[in-house]
Amino acid sequence: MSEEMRGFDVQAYEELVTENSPVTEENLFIVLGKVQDIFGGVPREIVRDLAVRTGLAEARIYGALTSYRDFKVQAEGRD
Amino acid sequence: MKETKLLTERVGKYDPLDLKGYEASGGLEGLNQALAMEAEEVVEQVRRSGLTGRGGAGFPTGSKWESAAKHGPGPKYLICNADEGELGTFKDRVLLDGDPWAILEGILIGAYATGAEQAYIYIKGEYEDTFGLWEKLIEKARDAGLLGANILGSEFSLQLSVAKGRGLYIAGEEFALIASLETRRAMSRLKPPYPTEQGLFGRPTVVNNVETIANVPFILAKGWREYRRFGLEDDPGTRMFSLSGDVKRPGVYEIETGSGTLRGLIDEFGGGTREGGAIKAVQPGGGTSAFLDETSLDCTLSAEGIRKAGSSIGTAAVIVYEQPKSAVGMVKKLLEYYGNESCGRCAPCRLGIKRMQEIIERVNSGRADVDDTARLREIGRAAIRASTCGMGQVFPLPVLSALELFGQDFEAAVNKGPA
Ligand SMILES: Cc1cc2nc3c(=O)[nH]c(=O)nc-3n(C[C@H](O)[C@H](O)[C@H](O)COP(=O)(O)O)c2cc1C
Ligand code: SF4
Repeated sequence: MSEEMRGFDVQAYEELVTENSPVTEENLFIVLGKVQDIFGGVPREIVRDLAVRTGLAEARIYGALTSYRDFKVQAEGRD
Repeated sequence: MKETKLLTERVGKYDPLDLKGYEASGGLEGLNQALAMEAEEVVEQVRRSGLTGRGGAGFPTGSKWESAAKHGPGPKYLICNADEGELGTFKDRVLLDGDPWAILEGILIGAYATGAEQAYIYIKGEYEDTFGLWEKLIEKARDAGLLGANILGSEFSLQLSVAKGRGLYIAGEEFALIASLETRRAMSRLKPPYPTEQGLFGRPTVVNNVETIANVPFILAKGWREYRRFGLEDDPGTRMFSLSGDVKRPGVYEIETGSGTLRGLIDEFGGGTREGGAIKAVQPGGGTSAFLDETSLDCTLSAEGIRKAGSSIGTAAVIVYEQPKSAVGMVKKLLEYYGNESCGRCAPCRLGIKRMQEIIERVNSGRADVDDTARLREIGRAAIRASTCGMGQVFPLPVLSALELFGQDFEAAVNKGPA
C-alpha cells in the first residue's frame, strides 16, 4: 500500500483485505460495506485500491456507491 | 383461531448461536435427508409441497428451483432475500434472529438442490444486530462443517456470504438486489430473462425470501405429504402475519392458510383496535396492497381469500387503520414512505410517485381542484400499466383503492379549502 493511503487506519484496511482475499466482483459489495462500517465512509484511496484488485474501473465503483444512501464517498477527483 | 407454529416453534427456545441447541430440537434432519437424495429429488419434494414464495409475489418455489437446477455446469447462486423493506413487514426478522439455523439449513438445501456453490444472505441495513449475529453464525457453521467444502462429509460444497443493505427499499426487488451484489446501482429490469436464467453475474440465480426458505427444512425432514397436511390444498402451509397499526397487540402471528379471517386476526390476536373504535381500513399485504374496508374483513386468510376481497396477501403484513382517520392522511403517509424509492428506470413510476405526492399534499392542505382526484387515478393507472417492476405496478394500488372506497374523504378535503 502506498503513501497515499493516509488519513485512515491502513493496517485495519490491510487486515480486512487479507480476511476477504481474494477481493473479486463476487465479494466487492460486501468488502465496500465493511470499509464503510469500519471507517464511516469509503476513502478515495480505497476505491482506487479495490478497483485495481478487482479490475473494475474506479468510475464504475463510484457510480454504484453514490447511488446508495448509506455509503459515504468523497466525490471523484476532489481533494 | 389458533396459531400453528410450523416455522416459529423454535423461536426463542435456544441460544441462536448454539448449533447443538438447534440440533437437539430436531434441526438438520431436513439437510441430512436432502443430502441422502439426488438433487432432482429434493427439487421434486419442494415442487410437490406446493410451497409458494413469501416475499410478495407468491411464485411456486419448486418451479423456481427447477428452472435454476436444469442449467448445466458453471457457477450458480442462491440469494436469501432478507431486505424486508415492505411497510409493516417484520416477520423475517423474527426468524433471522430467533431460529437462524433453520434459515441456514434451508439455504443449504436450496443450494444443494439447484447446484449453487455460492450463496448470499442480504440483510436489511437497519437490522444491525441481525447482521452481527449472522456474521458469527457463519463462522460457527464453517467450524461445524456446515459451510465450505464437502459439507457433512458429502460431495456438496457451499460458501455463504452475508451482505448488508445500504438504505434503499428498491434493493429488495430481486433484480435490484442482484445489481446491488454486483456493486451496481440498485435498479430493476424487465423479465424475462428471469434470475434463474440470467441472474447474478449473468448466471442462474435463485432469489428466495427468508420465510420461504424457512419452510424448506420441514418439507425435507417430514416429506411433502406431511407438509400438505397444513393449510389449503392450493396454498399449503402457514403464513406469518405481521400485524401492526391501530391494534392493541401488534406482533407476528403464524397461522395455517385458510384457518381464520382477517377480522379474527385483528380481534383475537391483535386485541381489537387500539382505542376500541371501529375499523376504517386494512391493508392486508403490506404498504403497497390495496385497502379493504370494514365490510371485507370476513375474508379467509389465504392468498385466494384476500384476492377475492379485492386486495392481495403480498408479504402478509396487515396494517390496521382505526376510525376516524382520513384516507387522505393514510395515503399521504404511504406516498411519503415510497416517494423517494423509485429506482428511476421508468418515467411512469419515477414521476408518477412524485406527482401523486404533490397532488396528495394539495388535497391534504385544501388546495386541490376538482380534477385532482381524476389526475390521481390517471397517473396511478399509467404507472401500473407501464412500469417495469413490481414497485411501479403496485404503489398506486392503495391510492386507487382509497379513492374508490373513501372518495368522500377526498371530496371533503377538496371542498374544505385551505386551513
Ligand atoms: C419494490 C420491491 C421490493 C421488494 N422487497 C422485497 C424484500 O424486501 N424481501 C423479499 O423477500 N422480497 C422482496 N421483493 C420481492 C422480490 O422481488 C422477489 O420476488 C422475492 O424475493 C422472491 O422470493 P420468494 O419467491 O421466496 O418470495 C420486492 C419486490 C419489489 C417489487
Ligand atoms: S417500476 Fe419503478 S422501481 Fe420498478 S423499474 Fe420502473 S422505475 Fe424502477
